[in-house]
Amino acid sequence: MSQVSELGASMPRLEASAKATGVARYTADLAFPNMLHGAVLMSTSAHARIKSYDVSAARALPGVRAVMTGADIPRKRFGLMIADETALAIDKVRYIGEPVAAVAAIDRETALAAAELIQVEYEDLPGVFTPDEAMMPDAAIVHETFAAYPKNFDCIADGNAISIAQVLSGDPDEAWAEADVVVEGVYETQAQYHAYMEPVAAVADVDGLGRVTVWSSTQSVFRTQICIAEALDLPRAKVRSISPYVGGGFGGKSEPGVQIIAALLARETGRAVKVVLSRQEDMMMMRSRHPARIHLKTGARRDGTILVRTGSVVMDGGAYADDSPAAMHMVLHFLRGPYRVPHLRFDGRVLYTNKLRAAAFRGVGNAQATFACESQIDELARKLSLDPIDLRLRNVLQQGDSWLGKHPIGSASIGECLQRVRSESNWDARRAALAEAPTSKSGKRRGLGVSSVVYTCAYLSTSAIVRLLDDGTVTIATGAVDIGQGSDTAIAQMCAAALRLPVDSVNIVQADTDATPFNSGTNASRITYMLGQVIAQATDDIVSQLFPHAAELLECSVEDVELVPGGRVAIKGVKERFVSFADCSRRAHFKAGGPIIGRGSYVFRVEEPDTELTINKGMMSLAAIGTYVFGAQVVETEVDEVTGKVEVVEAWSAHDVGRAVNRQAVEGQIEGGLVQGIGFALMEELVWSDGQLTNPSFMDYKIPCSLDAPENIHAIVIENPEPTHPFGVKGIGEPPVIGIAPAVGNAVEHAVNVRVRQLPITSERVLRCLLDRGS
Amino acid sequence: MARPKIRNELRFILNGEDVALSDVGPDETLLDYLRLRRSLRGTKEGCAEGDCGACTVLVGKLASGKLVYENVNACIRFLGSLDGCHVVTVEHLRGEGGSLHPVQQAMVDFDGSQCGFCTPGFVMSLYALWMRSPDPSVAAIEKALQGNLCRCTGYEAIVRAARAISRYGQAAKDPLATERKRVAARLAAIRDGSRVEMGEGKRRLVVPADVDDFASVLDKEPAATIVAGSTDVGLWVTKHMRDISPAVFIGGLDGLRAISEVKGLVTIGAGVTYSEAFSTLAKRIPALGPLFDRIGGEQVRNMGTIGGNIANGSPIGDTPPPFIALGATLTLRRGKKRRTIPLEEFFIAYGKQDRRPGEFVEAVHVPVPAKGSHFAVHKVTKRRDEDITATLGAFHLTLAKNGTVASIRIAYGGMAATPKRATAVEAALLGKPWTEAVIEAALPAYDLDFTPLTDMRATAEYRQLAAKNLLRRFFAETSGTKAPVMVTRQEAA
Repeated sequence: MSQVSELGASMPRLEASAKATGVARYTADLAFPNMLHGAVLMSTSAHARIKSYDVSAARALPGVRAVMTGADIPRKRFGLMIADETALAIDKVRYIGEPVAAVAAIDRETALAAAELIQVEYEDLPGVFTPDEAMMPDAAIVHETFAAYPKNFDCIADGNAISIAQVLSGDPDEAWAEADVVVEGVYETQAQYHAYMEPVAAVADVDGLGRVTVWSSTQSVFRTQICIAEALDLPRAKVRSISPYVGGGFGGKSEPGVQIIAALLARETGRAVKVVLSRQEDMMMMRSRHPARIHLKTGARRDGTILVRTGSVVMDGGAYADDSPAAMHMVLHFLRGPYRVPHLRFDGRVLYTNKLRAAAFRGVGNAQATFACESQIDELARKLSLDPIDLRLRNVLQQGDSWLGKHPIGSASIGECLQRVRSESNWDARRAALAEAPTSKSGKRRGLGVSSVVYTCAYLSTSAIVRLLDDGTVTIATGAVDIGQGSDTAIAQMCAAALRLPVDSVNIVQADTDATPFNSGTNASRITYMLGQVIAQATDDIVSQLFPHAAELLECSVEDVELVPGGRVAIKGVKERFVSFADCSRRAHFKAGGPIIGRGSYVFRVEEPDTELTINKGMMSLAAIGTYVFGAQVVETEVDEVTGKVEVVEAWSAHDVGRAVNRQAVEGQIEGGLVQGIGFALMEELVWSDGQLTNPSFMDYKIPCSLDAPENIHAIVIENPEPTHPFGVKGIGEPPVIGIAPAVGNAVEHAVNVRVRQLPITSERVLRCLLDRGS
Repeated sequence: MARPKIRNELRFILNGEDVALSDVGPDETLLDYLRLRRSLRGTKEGCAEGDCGACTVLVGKLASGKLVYENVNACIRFLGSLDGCHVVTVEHLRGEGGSLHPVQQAMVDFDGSQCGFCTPGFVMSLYALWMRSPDPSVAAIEKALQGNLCRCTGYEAIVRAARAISRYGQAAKDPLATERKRVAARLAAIRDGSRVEMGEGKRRLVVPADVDDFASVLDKEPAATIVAGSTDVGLWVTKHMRDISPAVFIGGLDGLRAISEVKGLVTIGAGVTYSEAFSTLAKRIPALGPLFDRIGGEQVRNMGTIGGNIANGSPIGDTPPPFIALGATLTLRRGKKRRTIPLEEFFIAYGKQDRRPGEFVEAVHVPVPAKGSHFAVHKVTKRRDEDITATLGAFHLTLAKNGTVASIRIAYGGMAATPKRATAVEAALLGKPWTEAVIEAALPAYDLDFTPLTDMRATAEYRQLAAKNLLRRFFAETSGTKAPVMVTRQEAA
């Protein structure tokens, strides 16, 4: 297979055959000589003081090599934005499922049995299980020492609040007077579980020098390294973090899973230790999407022009902050939608509760905001008797417009995306036909709904090192973790395209903090955009070192040579007078100059928001948030009026990706994200009872299966090359999940004339609304 | 009964290799064996309860002398159930001349794999489908993949791959097809008529030689756990850490796997799987076809048995309500003694069935509905497929010539501690004209029949409402009216 790379062509993933044959090794598949197996004891109390431990029976069990509790670990806290976590609970437990103790034994069965023998004496404290309970004046405090925790943003908080923030633009109080119509509603979204197919896992080992090496299922080897180092009180250089193949993440593996526990056990025993969570443990111990309640109000002129929007947001952050502040800031950032809204104010508050921590999940914050925003746009359209797409088009951002505080939006293609789904779905005719069709004899009706989608795709920093090997092939080290989205292939394609090499001449180095340079992580749809930036730099660097060798060998001037396809440098316009990369690289390796290494480093930063235009209180800096990505989604749903059951029967999803690097992979992101959005819209919900998760299994927590996916998904790829990017690309990882829930809600209203403002739109909720509607 | 020969060894074929094991516990799963003892790590653990399909492997078994390969969940399949079987894992797949197998090549070319963790499981389910049906329809593909979860692709690319497999090779030339005779002969040789027995105390495992042997084993060890398809018992072990020893594995007993029909009465042996029952039942009682398609995923349907679904007495088992509505009876056996009872009488209370010590369910007898009668089943779940029932209603109606209800049997699952008949509702309808007014008047009787529970699948209120609406749907389907009228707020209250 020797494909000359053309960006935009479809090609199989580099690692596809390893995955199809079962050869690809994931963390749980790793084995080392003498390796021990770990197990974690989870808290059985939602909120309690730990009075004492008795580990004697566990230690006495044959085969047990280490038993550790919070009393045996450094009292060092870690956390992305607020350092509030420890790897094992210290002094207090804050949710049922929190790791309290850990065991290493000769096999997993023994480790699990030993964990069960550990006695923990709890003194139960009152718990807070909802944001409303957490906000009561006399509420139990989840983190008494919150004020002392290190934080890396301008944190405003009180009581059980993790972060309180506000976005204000224009003069919303005055603007209401100008509005002819006002729509108002409360929109609620649920705790959705990431449900990556590979449960969290880690293997840790130590060497004689006190270095810890951890292989784990992670979205960021560097975040893993940082958290282990902080929790174990070690310098970064004493921790090496590697990712084997990762079985999905969707945001749930950005922050640590069980890596720190594995590292603690490895240090304690001096042996490799593997910790793999069961599905139930993963669901009880790890994370969910943030539940949110959004009170939103929009005012518009009679012609549909939006004048003003205000909202207040309450989010449930669970027991630890993780990236809760960022998630809430994203809600506030995106609540305006891709529309011109001259006057707005959004207030938000995310709270600690005694439940599983909430965290980033594909479309973090945005999915919640968009459900409220795009449901309400349809409610406005209904009130004004306007077509929902017409109303959107009247208000969409135009080229030259900006986001809050003059934040640049790049190509403002939201209108184009809406037009495309309108034409491809035959919206006007189909909607009219469905509205007129009689209810089927078995009680089913169909409807068509739309949603706009806007997201951003660049964030923080990244780097790359490209090495030209002596045979003319290249090795690229980036620290980017491919969690299944296909970034390794996209990286190889961009690198190959820049150097005009076949893709199979590019080798990707597995993410490894010892071997690959810094990359903040696989999140925020950032990898393809960010890596493109540093690949362009690094390959330019290679070319600038390569050309002098070529010029020497060709006996001409550096200005007179150019790259030609197939790993060659030729005299300009005379492609038969060439030298190969191998010729040049061998000369560099053995004669002159030394091996050729290219480097690229990039941090995404735009100007700070203009505080004259927008006030951002308690928010992380928006200057780090990247380039805007626009899209639009349409779904046709069928509603069963007998049971309330909703199904998505067809879907259209149009996204401006700048430029598709691997078209087939882009379509795969759109299809996969869309079906995850269907899960969010219709069926997925973690449910607690007094702090106890009631459905921690795939038996009781349902994600979409093959028959829940629509019969037809139309992935529509729009390409307006991104002007700030050397390859013109934008990220597409998250946008496809975002608009589905509101599009489904809008389609349900179109079908049966009820508005469901609470996710998931279950049979039960629909039936209840149908009852309220009457026959 | 002559005591059969005893063999202290389990024998099966794993990929190309004959395996004989004499140190197997009753609760050792195939998945643990593959991953831990054999380092065959292409087979993944995603849920350990038969819901995600990441652990899918093929099991070839002899059925009436014919070798049939089925995709199953290794995570809830016990080694004890594999005597005389051929286990095929993803590592066994090869294409011609060392290339990728056609299923794998299609998955590669059509981008059917993203994170890849579920991929070996999908490959195995697609392999089973392809051998059975080299050119499947989209509907057949989606049905075949019901039991495999993928969180990345949205399934579209996998379906495209599935449709293209035959472009990459011919199913008839696949090694599992060409070696079928040889493998069948090896499996037949393993099944030497012996009883397999091993272990003591917590590690006791028995595979009876035949049904008579099973009857005598159970007579002697009435406390033994009977394991047929292990789709339920598997979870007792992987989720609830229950001790199932001594365990008697009956999934391979031909004597429990017969389906026959005499004078409109279909008799289904207790060991018949959902998949095996499907063709007969869907043909003779068409309303059961769509229901059976919605029980578990294909792996579960290939393992789970009708007898197990009844014997475990779950209030949300999917087969008892329709069988009760049809007037089915159940044969129980102890030693040589048999008794036959109406199916609904088997279910006494939650977790309590009329199965006496040493007794086992041998067969269920299901009457085919008479011509002109109406029979329907409706299942309500959170997810459309491979989901547990919130409520399931089965209706069997015969109308007299004058349009009155000559007979009606209604049974529900998910509405009480057992599968249960709606006797008060039936009484309110019997002898009355089959009209909307009569249906409406009968609805309050639901509150006499059922006091459902609230759990994470549905609230009590929803269950009651949906149950009533299902009767309305049945009425709409069996009468000339248009769309069913919805339950109103007053009636709900």
